[in-house]
Amino acid sequence: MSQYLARRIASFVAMIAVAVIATFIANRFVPGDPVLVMLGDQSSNLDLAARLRADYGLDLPLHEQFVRYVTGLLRGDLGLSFRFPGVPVGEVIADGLRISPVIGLAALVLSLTLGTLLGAIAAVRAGSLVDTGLMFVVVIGLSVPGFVVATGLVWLLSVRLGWLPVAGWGTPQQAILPIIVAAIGPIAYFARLTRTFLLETLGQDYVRTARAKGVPERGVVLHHALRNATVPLLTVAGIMMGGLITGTIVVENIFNIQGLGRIAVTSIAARDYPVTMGIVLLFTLFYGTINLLVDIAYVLVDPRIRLAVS
Amino acid sequence: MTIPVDLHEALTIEDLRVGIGRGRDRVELLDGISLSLRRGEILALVGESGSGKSMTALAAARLLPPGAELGARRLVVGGADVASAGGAALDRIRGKSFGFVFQEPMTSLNPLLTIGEQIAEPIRLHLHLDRAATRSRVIDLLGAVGFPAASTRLDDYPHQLSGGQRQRAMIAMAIACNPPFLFADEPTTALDVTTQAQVLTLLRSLCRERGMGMLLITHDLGVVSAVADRVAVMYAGRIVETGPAAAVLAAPHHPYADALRRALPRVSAKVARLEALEGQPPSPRAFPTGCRFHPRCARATARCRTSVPALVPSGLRTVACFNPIAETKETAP
Repeated sequence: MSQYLARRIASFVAMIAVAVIATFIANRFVPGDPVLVMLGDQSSNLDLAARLRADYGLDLPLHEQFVRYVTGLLRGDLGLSFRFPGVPVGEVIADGLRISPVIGLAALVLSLTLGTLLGAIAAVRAGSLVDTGLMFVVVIGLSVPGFVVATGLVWLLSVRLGWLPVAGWGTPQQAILPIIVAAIGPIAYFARLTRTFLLETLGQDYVRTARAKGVPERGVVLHHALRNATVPLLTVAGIMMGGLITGTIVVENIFNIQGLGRIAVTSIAARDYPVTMGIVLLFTLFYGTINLLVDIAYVLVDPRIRLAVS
Repeated sequence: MTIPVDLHEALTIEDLRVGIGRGRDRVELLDGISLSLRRGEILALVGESGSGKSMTALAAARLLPPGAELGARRLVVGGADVASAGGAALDRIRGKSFGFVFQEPMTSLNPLLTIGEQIAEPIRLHLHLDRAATRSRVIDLLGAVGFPAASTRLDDYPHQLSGGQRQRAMIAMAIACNPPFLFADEPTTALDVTTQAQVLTLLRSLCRERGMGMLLITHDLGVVSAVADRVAVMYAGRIVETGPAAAVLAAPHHPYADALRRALPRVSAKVARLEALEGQPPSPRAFPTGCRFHPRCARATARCRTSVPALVPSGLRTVACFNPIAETKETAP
């Protein structure tokens, strides 16, 4: 058990290390001289250029730059922004750090609960009108891109009905639409998979055994079938986090919310590599943490894994 | 609804029919199965794969997959009227009035729950005992099915047990509420030979000690002679012969039962080659007219092709054949 956890944590650390190296390389080897970009029309001012290079450590040998980058990261220092000369990356993304996790986690909770519930209803009523209707909606939710759904919802709920604000961030009302839009795809995806996995476990011999013992249908579905379906669902939940991250990027841009996703996009457009890479690192950390939690959850759910690793 | 119940009756199946599909796709899988068992009695249901043995047990336990339609004049299992029950009423019957031991103990036990939890489930559902009483009952049950050091094995998961132990756990689960009747669907097929004998002996003694009736489904005639009091031979969704196990095995009257017996290897007989029954059992989509065995039967006559032989009592047996092997008139009452 502890050995298993140690292995998982080691692979988590390795993943972060790879991400650190990759972001460093990306920061230093992208085409174009960031100093020239920062100088703008003062590009002939060589003194200023030299000072900027020194400020950003770009005059140091590569390995020293890397050491500075890594030690900075360990102190929580992501470096300095290119777009806002002299401003630390942490400051640029501070607002985003307060917004994006709210959208992401709310969408995650919504998709796990609602997705599981809808998928379970469809599986239990497999072949019925309820199932067919639910799966029709799910296919729409999966195939219609988020920005189209968002536009439609904004038109209906904000423009026509005036119930919710069109964009922005700060009030609870402003949070509703972005969270819904971010959650729709994952809800549909999770509902679809829950239905598939649950149908499979409902056909297993041990489910028949449970029925033969007189376990009521509720207990058969929840205690026996769904619990077994949780094992593959956990895997998918971990992978789904990637989709949720890209989902928040889309959502924040549609609703003009200054979250991490929006900052990432504007930073890419402004060639602000330190900020972009800082956000990439944060996303990697988030994704890795979720998958580490999934690995731990496996052990809690499935005794075969628990015992195989102890 | 109350129906008169014989206290000694463990199982009564009358005119059980199971079909799937509609209209031209309609397939009748079971055609008028009737069986009865008293408490403490063991009836073996034998026949080739696909003859409807398991289907009969699943239908009587109301565990048929969705889409299969069931009809019966009377279906009383362990004293409970199963035919008319549905939903919550059925949940109260299953596990309490009868237990069910399945063929494959590995896949029939939930891999995520300990055997203690799984055995406790019917006790919790039907007997409403508190935690401590449930636990001690589970330990008693594991002891009763021959689990060594029962109290230490409660928290084991199915994958930690051997095949024989899994089947013992399954049996403990099936008899947890002391039901008057037990279905055992090929309970030893997945086990090795020595374990098979142990599990059969266990089942037999449990039936005797607890006065529990058992429908033992098997395709192994050796199992029948070792355990069963009576035997019913099935072919293509019908019962073709019933009677005392020893008598039927020694001298079957129905040609199909006879063919089954001849296919059984014997240690004593010096035969170079086993007799095999020619042909294949028919598919339910193309059951022959008349007696369903007639295309493979050496004794078949014109009548066998057109009319269905009824199960006719002959002494302690019933036989559904126009040309039975033994002349049985003198033994008729």
